[in-house]
Amino acid sequence: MDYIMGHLLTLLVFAPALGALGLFYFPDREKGATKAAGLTISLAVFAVSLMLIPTFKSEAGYQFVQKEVWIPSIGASYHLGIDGISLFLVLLTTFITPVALLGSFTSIQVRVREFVILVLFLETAMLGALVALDVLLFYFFWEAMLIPMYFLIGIWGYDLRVKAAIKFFIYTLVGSLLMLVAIIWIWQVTGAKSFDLVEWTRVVPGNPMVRKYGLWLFGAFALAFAIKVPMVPFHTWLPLAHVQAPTAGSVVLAGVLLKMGTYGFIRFAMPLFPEAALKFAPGLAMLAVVGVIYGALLSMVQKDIKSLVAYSSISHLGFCMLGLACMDEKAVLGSVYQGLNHGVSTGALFLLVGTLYERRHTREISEYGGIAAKVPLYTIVFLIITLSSIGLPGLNGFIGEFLILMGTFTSDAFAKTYVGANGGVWFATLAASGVILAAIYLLWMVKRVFFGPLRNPANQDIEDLNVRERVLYAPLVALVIVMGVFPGWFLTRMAPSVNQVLSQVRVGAGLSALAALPAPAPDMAQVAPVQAPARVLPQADLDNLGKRLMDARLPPGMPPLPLRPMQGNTPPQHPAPSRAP
Amino acid sequence: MPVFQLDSLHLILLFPFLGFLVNGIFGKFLGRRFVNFVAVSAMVLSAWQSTLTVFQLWRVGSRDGHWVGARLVQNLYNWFTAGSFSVDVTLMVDPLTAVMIMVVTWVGLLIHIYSTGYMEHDDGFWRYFAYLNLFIFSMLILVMGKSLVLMFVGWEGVGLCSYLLIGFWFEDAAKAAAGLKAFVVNRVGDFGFILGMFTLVVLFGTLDSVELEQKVAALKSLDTLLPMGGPLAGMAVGTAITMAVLLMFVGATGKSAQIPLYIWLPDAMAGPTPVSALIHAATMVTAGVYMLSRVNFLVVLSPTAMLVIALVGGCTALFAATIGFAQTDIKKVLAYSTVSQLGYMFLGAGVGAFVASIFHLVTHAFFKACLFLGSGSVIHGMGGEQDIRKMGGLRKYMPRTRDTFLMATLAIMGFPLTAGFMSKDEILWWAYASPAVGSWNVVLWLMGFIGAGCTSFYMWRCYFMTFSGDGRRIDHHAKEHVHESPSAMTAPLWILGVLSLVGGFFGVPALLGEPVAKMLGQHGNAYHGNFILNWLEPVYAVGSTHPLARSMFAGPGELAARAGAGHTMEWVLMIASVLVGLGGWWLASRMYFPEPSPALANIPKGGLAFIYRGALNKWWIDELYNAVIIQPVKWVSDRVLRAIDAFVVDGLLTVVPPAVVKLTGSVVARVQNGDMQRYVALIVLGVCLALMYVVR
Repeated sequence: MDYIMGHLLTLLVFAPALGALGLFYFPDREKGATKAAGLTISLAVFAVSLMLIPTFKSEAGYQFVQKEVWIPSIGASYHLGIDGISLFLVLLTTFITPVALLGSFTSIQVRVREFVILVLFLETAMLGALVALDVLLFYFFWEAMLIPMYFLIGIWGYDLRVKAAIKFFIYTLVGSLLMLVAIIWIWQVTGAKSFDLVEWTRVVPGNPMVRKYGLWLFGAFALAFAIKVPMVPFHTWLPLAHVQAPTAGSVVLAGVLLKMGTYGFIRFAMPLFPEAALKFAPGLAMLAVVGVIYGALLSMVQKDIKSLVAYSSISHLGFCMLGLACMDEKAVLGSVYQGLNHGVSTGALFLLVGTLYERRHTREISEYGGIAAKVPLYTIVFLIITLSSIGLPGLNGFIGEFLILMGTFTSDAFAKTYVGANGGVWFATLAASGVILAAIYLLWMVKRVFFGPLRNPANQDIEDLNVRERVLYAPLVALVIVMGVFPGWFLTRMAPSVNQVLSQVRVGAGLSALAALPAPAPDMAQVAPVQAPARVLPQADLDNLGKRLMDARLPPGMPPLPLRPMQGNTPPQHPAPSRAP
Repeated sequence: MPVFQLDSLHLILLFPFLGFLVNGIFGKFLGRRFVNFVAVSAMVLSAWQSTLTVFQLWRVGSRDGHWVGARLVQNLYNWFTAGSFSVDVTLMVDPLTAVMIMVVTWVGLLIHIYSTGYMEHDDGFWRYFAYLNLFIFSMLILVMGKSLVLMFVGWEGVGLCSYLLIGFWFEDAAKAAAGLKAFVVNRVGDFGFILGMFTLVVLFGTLDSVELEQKVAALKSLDTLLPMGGPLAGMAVGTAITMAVLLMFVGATGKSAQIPLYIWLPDAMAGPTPVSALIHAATMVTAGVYMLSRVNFLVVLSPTAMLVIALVGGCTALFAATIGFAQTDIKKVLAYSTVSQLGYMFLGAGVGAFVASIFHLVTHAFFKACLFLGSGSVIHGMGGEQDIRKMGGLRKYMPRTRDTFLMATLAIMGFPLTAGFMSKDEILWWAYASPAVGSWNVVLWLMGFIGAGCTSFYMWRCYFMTFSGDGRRIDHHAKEHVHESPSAMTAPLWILGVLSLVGGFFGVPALLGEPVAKMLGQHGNAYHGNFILNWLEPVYAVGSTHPLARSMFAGPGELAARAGAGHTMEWVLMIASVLVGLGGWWLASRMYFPEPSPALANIPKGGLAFIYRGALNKWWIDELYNAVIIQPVKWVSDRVLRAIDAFVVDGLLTVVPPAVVKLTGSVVARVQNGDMQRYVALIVLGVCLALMYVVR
């Protein structure tokens, strides 16, 4: 058992690939069995990934670390590990993959075996990129993600699939090649003869050569990640890829691949080049805000549901990038959380669009209208997911957006830059208008698709969710609710790592470090306004009370009350950042 | 106020939530009677539990026979923590919340009972009751949330239920569109709300209402500047507070349908009528008023914000009342009336008379719920007809509906000693007497005063056109089946009707209460029967006694002062407002009793044509928004941004780099064309150049 726990990440990363290798021996005609086998493998991987949770400690630093020599001549190592930031992305990946596979059971009918194999290879590459702590190893997995995705879009996509696949490939490749150049350059000048990220985080930010050319280096990393996110103006590959990709491709793309961009920023670009990151911060924030509004406005006028969801992704990822650019604890935490939310919600939206497409073979909004009466269950699921995407409190999207916007509003990172101390206020104000627009474009689409009279006769016989689809959507809906009602469970595990990264960045960038708060353990987090142990009024007491309601206020003859006032004005335990006198 | 922990608070909202789950998940398979039973019993339990809680509060908040107020809290769990900012899911019942939960659960219960009758022929009944219970749950979260963030959860939750219930009959595209409009307009308000909250976080680092109050109480000066290097650097604290309050007020204008965001409420009448009564009259739309009371200690620190709130409220009160003149849909009349009455509440809050605004909220819940339910009864009995031009003479067919409608109409017109009279008069008096708004007081009072006349006029017009006359305007199809509603519907009407008449007696103005108290020989109590003032006063204690706030609130001391100097004026104003109400009735009776006067047909052609057409078309505000905001945004997105996206952004990245590659390629390719002689020539040239470089 100890051996397994010590090598859990390796097991996790390569299990899908091993499974995929096994699938090569499946006969081509056994489509159902192949799908079932693929689903089983990915579910098993998910189960293994759940083993991370009980052992994971809510503290800073990498856990489940495994380090082996990889290429000794250049100092590359096989170094794996996760922290609070990557933990949930890993879980998201292992969760989304079976969902994507199950979601394409009926839509994929040709080259089934190859499809499943590619999805599993893709999972390996994604997991590898998330747990790699060696820059070269990360780069290896990062590029490895491209290949399966390229084929997924190019083979099983829709009409313009080849164009979409090539565009996707070239865009991402161009960005990441520049990153490779920057990686090699750093390896050269620092003389560390190592690609180890932990080592790099210690020596690279202070290296005089790196500081001198920091803007270029950061630019090279940032471009690779910004294309992946994608940030405006590097986004045009995304709608095309999303619309043309098969459902599973879109789901994985939205669910995990785009998160690689934001993950790259927070794991590599910002800690390695903090000064440059601070200089770039206003620019990044501006692009992010533009992305929020631009994506939303374009989403509003799309005629194709899938394309609408794709543009909404640009808007939502704009929020994530805004949060990162602010270098504020709340905003970055919100950004990491929003990444997960987007993965679940938008992934689910793409699945839902796929479900509808399977029935009617069109994604044109104008083809629908009034189908709510025909497909009530589908409508409910669609509405819940939509509301989560809109950021309705109680569902997951709200927490992320709220923290990001609040963190942006209260951020002090822009004080030293050209936008001034109030930069965050303006960015938050502008970005908050994206929250209005989100309600417009999504609910307007819902109205046009689901409500109104059923005019199109082709929609007469449209069927509601079948059993497979109910099984598919149940965990997604549950997750959307759980993540909205109990975000604390997630955030307490993320916060120490986010704080650590952020402290590195802020110290390196010459901002004041964050207050060294202890990790907000669940009990401590309760900043109880009432400190003294309060007497609790038992329910029985309350019931008895009903009998003597009318004389409740009369002192004579009343038994003494079994309660005692608490000190109302005890100060909160936290060092609250009260800025007002 | 002392704080007590009470671990049964969650029960108040647990029952509606369970009702929602049961009806929402299994309702389709359960029978109609079972669904009704679940929904109504959830409300009964919730109402009972909240009543117990309020009595509990009453008991623990009394000291030596004096009411000092208390807070009952229950901390459920930590919702999220990010850095130093933390939000707990903590429920709280203080005197203000106590008033709200009583209104929400009891009026909610009545409307649930009424709905069992109203929805008896609708197939979506289970969905309806699930939404309705979810609404009550959200509304209770809104009023019981200790943190403003939790309040926002309820705020959005009620918005969602409103969206779902307005579009309840979603197969009608117009109704679905009305739901969408409500949601989006509310989102515009929420935009302000969250920015206001962020400003408070910058100022105080917390959004917990009690902690906020403590921090405000400790404020020493409003002129201190916020530190440089952070957000809002260099802004004075007072300015930042004004900004926060105004931003939150934007949220209130959305939810409570004030100028300029009121446009969704009339459309919201597309929902079932009990929904209009519960959500769009009695409870949800008053959330903005509640919110201002919840942060009253901030509001009183900003005279600017107060004036803005009062002016917006006053303008809305007057403006919406004028639209009420020409509406012919009975629900639209009531919708504009609601907008107008909400304006009165904001007028009250803006001049610092928070108690009066909450009092009016309560009485309005009585009489407006009664009016809406009455109109629902009329619509139900008329088989879906909503046009008052096609009604008339219904007093014969629906006597009980008519009686209760009359009671509520008397209340809303401000007939002496009815509930509406007590609360509206209190607001009008404070609009005039408040020191908070400087010399604007006369203007504000005048707005409210004229609005009162208009209110009386349009309500009597509505009443006469619906119930008086001989019924000649009813078409004969409707006449055959017009009937009085079942007792499940009329019983709530009676209760609300009686409350409309006598529900004001727990807030008798001192002017009237004092002589009675003297007569009865009670001198010890400074409140003289103004029970609600006594009850709510602790909530406003910090704000009203804050050294930086202008004196806003009528505490006992001020009541005494009022009893002296302002007495005559108060009598004058009170009589004036009664007279203007009677004037509205007189005018309406001349024009519409017993049948609308034939001379009315000439109005569209006469001198008043413009006003008439304006009122009829709601002053073209919807059209204005459409032309100024919606269409331009759509046009820009569709025509401009799409083109930019396709040609400029995409074009630059997909055309220019390949072109560069191609150009380089063509240049380099020319060198490598296989011509041996040129290769030799180039080699020689290269060697020469190299030699020159080396030799030199």
